This record gives sequence, structure tokens and C-alpha cells, in this order.
Amino acid sequence: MINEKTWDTIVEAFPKLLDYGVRITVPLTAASFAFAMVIAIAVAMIRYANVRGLKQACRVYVWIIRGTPLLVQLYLVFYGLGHYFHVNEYVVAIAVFAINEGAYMSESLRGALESVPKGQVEAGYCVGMSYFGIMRHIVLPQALRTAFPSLWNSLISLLKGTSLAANITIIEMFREAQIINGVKFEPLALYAEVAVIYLAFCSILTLVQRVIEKRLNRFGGVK
Amino acid sequence: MLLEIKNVHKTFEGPEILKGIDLNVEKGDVVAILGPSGSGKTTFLRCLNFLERADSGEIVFDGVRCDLHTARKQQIAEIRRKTAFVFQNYNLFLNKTVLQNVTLGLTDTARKVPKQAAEETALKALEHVGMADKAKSYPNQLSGGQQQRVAIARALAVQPEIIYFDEPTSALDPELIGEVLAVMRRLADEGMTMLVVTHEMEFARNVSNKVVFMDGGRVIESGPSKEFFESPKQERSREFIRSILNKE
Repeated sequence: MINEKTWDTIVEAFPKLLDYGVRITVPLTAASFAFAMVIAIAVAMIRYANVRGLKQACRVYVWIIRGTPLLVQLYLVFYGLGHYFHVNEYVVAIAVFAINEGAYMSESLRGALESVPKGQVEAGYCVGMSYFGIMRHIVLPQALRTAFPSLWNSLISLLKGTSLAANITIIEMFREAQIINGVKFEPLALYAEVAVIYLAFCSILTLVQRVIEKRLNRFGGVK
Repeated sequence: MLLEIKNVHKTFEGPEILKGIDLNVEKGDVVAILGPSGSGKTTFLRCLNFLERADSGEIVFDGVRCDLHTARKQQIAEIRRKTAFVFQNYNLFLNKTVLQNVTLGLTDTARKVPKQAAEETALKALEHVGMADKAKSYPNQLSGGQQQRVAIARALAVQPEIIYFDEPTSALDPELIGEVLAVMRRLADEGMTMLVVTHEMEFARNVSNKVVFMDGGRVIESGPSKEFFESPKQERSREFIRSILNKE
């Protein structure tokens, strides 16, 4: 199965795949995650604080996003809206990934916010802090600490999910593997290779997670 | 009169917890609020700082009148600025160091104290409770007694006109109660006005100058501590003192 030609294909493809991984997959992940984080914090805070009107809107958002496949969402925006408006594939990818993962992350964060003891908020009020001051300095940092493993999970899931961007004309790591396969016709070797690179990326993220968690615990953290 | 409290009522779904509580506090008073559990002591204290919204009632703080039911944000903030609260389970900010716990109330509130000045004040307050050497620790690295002393420093740092204590030693292991009571006794000696919900009879008798005995959402008896313990007027008070003394 692995003859010299296959091996050559693997070796030749490696720098190209890695290049697309570092240049496209990683930035796509980072940008999507950053926006997803902003969405998640906003949505979770609105639901935590029971903001009338907005709270229902947030619930509908989470309901729709969690109830439809990511690939369908990508198609809907890129090909659906793209049919009528000019859309940029990178903007669509980042927006859809962020909106999608943001829904899941908002749920973990909401749970974490609600797990912060009420006494923390009361103590904040009693020393004279405002609601936003308490959120910013006390409740949100503690909730982010609690939600950290699950938020990191979302990051890892996003990294792998960016491979779906291949469906909307973005050449990222997986699409590049498809393209090389079109020339070399070594599907098993090439898709296995790209899988290993994804695995390596995710492993690095897992290591980083361990370092961060250790640090969070060292700084007292919330048990 | 520093604080006049009039006719506080509070109902949680169902029974009425507070059935009209009145209390007057002079500057420098140390008032112990006693009573069996479920008598409404804690709810009463929490109403004074708007941690619970009373159904009705009024306070006159330093000459400023404030309705406990209808008070607006601005009024609440004003009352809270003059007061501090020490909780049964300390409620130190878990993600902040000891020092930050004390400075937050100075820097990130309407007080707007510059950081450096706030840290000096905070360290002084921590020294006062014997916790300055733990300034860089996090709450969960401290014993309960130490946490409560930091909580008292946090209360002191904002220079309140009165400190409310809600059963400050009830969550502590017996061997840690003494260190917290010692700090409270020192504050009392220095003239700090304190309103203390407590089960510590020794504190009520020897440190506080006034006692309020509550039962069933009413004040049964109130007066100078000495009188209360030596010649209680109400049968219910006598019963309570007897039962406590028997336990001790």
C-alpha cells in the first residue's frame, strides 16, 4: 500500500498542507473564536441579567443555531444570500463559525455565570460597586474560569470545523489536501496526513490548556 | 441619633418574617440582635442594606430619610456608601487577592480613590485585623477566621458610619471564633458603631451595650445589655437566656 510513490506524495504534500494550515486554518480559527467569545459573553450576560426582550431574542438565537447543521448554515449564507448579494467567503466563514460556536459557548458561560455564588454579588453591592463593576471584576472572571474547559473545547471543535470552509471555496488545509489528491490520486495517504496534522494542532491546544489551567489554579482560582 | 429604623415589614412567599421592627442606634452603639433561628434577625439586617427589599419601613440615616420599600438606586447607593456589611460566610471575592478584596470598594466605586492611596488604606485596615502579611494570598488559601478578618478589613477600609454583622462567627470552627471576636471587640472599644446579629452570648453581654431580642418577627425586648441579661422583663426573654445558659 505504501510504496515509494505514495511516500513521496506524503513528503511533498507536507509543507504545502502545513503552510495552508498555518496561514488559513489557524487564523480562521482564531478570528472565529474571538468573535464567538464576544457573542457568547454578550448573550450569556443578557440571559443572566434577565434583560427583557433581548433575553427572548437570545433564546431564539441559541435555539435556531443549535438546531441546524453548521454546513447548512454555511450554504445558506454563502450560496443563499450570495445569490442576491455580493459576499466575501472569508467574511462569511468567520461570521458563520463565530455565530455558530458562540451559541454553544454562551450556554456554557451562562451556566458558569449562574454558578457564581450570589454572595459574591451581594458583597460587591455592599462595598458600593455598581452592577457592571461587579460583573466585570467579580462574576465574569469567575465564570470564565469555571467555563474555561468547555470554552476550550469549543476552540478545538472550531479548529476542526474550519475544514467545512472548503465547501465555500476557501482553500484551507483540508481543501488543499483535496486539491493535491486531484493531481496525485492518493486519497488514503493524503487524508490520513491531513488528519494527523489536525490532530497535532489539537494536541498543541490541549497542552496549552493544561498550562493555562495550572496557572489559573495557582492564582487561587475558584474551586 | 445615627440611625432610626421604623416599622420594617417583610414577607417572603407565605408567612410574614418581619412584623414591624423599630430600632434606634446612636453613634458608637454596639447593638447585639439576639433570638432563636427563624426569628427574622438576618432578614432584618439585610433589609437595612437593601439586600432584601422590605415590604414597608423607613430608615433615617444621619438625618436622611429613606423608604425601605420604594428607595431608588441613587438613595440605595448613598445608604450603602455609609455602611458596610460582614457576612456569615465572609463572601470574599474569590478571584481577588486579600489586598484587592479590600481596595475594590475604594477604587471601583463612587469613592474613586486612586490606586496607591487605596492600597495604603487597605494595608492599614489589614494591619488592624492582623492580616497584612496575607495581602497577596487568595481567599481559599486562608482559614475561615482569617477570611472573616479580611472581610472586616474590607468593611473598615471604606470608613463606614456603621458596620452590619450577620452572624459573623456562625460558620467558623469553634477554635477560630476567638480571633474574630477579638477584632470585633477592638472595633467596639474604638467607638465603631455596629449592629451585630449573633449567637455569641459572651459578646452580647460584655461587648455590646444594647441588646435587641427578636422572636417570631417582632422585637420582644430591647435595652441595655446588662439589664437584659440580669433582669429580663419578658418571660420569652428569660426563657431564651435560660436555654442559652443551659447550653453553655
